[in-house]
Amino acid sequence: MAETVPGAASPAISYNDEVIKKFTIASVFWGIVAMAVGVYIATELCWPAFNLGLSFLNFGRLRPVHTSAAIFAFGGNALFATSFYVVQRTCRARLAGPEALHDFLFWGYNFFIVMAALSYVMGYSRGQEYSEPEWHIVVFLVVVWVLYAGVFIATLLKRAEPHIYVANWFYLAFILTVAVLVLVNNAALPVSPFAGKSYVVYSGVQNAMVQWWYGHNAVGFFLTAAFLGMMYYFIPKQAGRPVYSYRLSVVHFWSLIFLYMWAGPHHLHYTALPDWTQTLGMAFSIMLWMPSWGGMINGLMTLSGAWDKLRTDPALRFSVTAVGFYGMSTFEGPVMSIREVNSLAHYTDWVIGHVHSGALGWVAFITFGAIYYMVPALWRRSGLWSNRLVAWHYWIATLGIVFYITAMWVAGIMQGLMWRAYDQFGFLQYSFSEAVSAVHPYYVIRLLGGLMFLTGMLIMTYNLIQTVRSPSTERREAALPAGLAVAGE
Amino acid sequence: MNLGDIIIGAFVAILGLIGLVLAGGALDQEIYLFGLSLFGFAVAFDWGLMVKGMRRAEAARARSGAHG
Repeated sequence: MAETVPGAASPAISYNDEVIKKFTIASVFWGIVAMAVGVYIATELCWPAFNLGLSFLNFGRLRPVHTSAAIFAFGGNALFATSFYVVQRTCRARLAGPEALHDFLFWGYNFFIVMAALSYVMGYSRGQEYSEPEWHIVVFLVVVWVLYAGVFIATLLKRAEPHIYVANWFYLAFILTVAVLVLVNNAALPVSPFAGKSYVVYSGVQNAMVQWWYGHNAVGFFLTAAFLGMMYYFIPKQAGRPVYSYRLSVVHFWSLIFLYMWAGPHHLHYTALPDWTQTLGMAFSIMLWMPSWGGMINGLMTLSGAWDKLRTDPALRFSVTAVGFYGMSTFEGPVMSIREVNSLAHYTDWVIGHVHSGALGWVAFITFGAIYYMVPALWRRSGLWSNRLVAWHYWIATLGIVFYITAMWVAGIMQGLMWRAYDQFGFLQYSFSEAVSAVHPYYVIRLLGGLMFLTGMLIMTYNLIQTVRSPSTERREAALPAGLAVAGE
Repeated sequence: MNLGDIIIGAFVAILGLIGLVLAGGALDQEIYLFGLSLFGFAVAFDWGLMVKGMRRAEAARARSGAHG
């Protein structure tokens, strides 16, 4: 059930790994669901007849299923798993609270996901991006999230290590900030306590501002800060090297969390939002280059002296490529936030390409690297069943991302240019439907890219199942006393 | 069964009751489905908790029997 690590000088610590295993399995399962639904709705965008005339298969209903499954189900379960894995090992402390509470976190969080997905396909939605679930589902999530924060913080408080390792800082910022974001953005008045419909308390442009304060910080804290926690633990562990600069990681943390909070208004360029607020959002977005690239450099330089491991450890390739994508998408984002660039990019598929370079290249790849590391450790296997399959997964998925994002770049820029083209009489040169027809081939290429990424995910699942089914051999972490399990040691 | 299990079990049971109340007064399909699902979730969770607790107790009895 739980792992007992024989410490050299310190007493043995029994980690709760069972709940981490559950979250890991759920993450892989929801990853397949998210990508399969993504492929399906990409097919609908190419050939709309694929909605089969059924309301619950409409793009509008399935799209939030895809995004929620990818972000909150695949990503969220991975974050629960890795945060519990990291906090126990870097604090030399068992997860705080009874096992029943940890189990409730797992089943409760996944119940929230199932309920949210069901509500979307039934046509219930708040209509706010990444914040679609209605009030009653959000209330349930808040209960789960507060308990999650309690368990994580209590584990930090009872740590045997004097220092709180930087990965935990990132996880804690993610947990606390997501709580604040969800509470503020979901402030709504239900029609009745017995009705699944509510009205948001903000109106007009204030609502838009709060929504994108939430939306961009969901990207900043859920999809960035938390996964940076993953990076700061798993890359040093995989590389067998300490973090390149611990001081830089601390600067990275404080500057990132300070700057991200202000960047939301760049989603509202050329709207009713006051001009100065748009400029503020743009300026802070550009300032985000510095901590983002500082963090990327820190992640990559951690491999100094261990670059050769990329040849022998394909799982490490995922983590390192993820950091590369992190650098690329955090360069692209600020560029797109510049008002003049935004006038071309906004509402086009360029945004979809940008989001997926972050979601697939950064979030999914860093998660794959962590899962490939954790599964043999959690199930007490000497290694993965097949490193060759990991390499196949890596190349298929990387190629899939390249297909996806290049197709969306071309489609997006073409859309933007077609929408703003005027003829000599001052009339729009292209109708909207002409722009839709023009991007069709790129949508097919995007579908192909998504299919490749899904294929890679299935390869990973097969490899992980075979790894778990293979006989237990040596104990991977037993060689290190728990206190030395701090990243890099 | 330890105190932590009992507290969590009772807490989830309360959630289940809230689910039943929501389903009972539901004005639309969404709340009806959510309420019933919450009740089902609570029943399944507490059932699992009890099974786990009994297995633990049995294992403890077997251990003490082996030593005795």
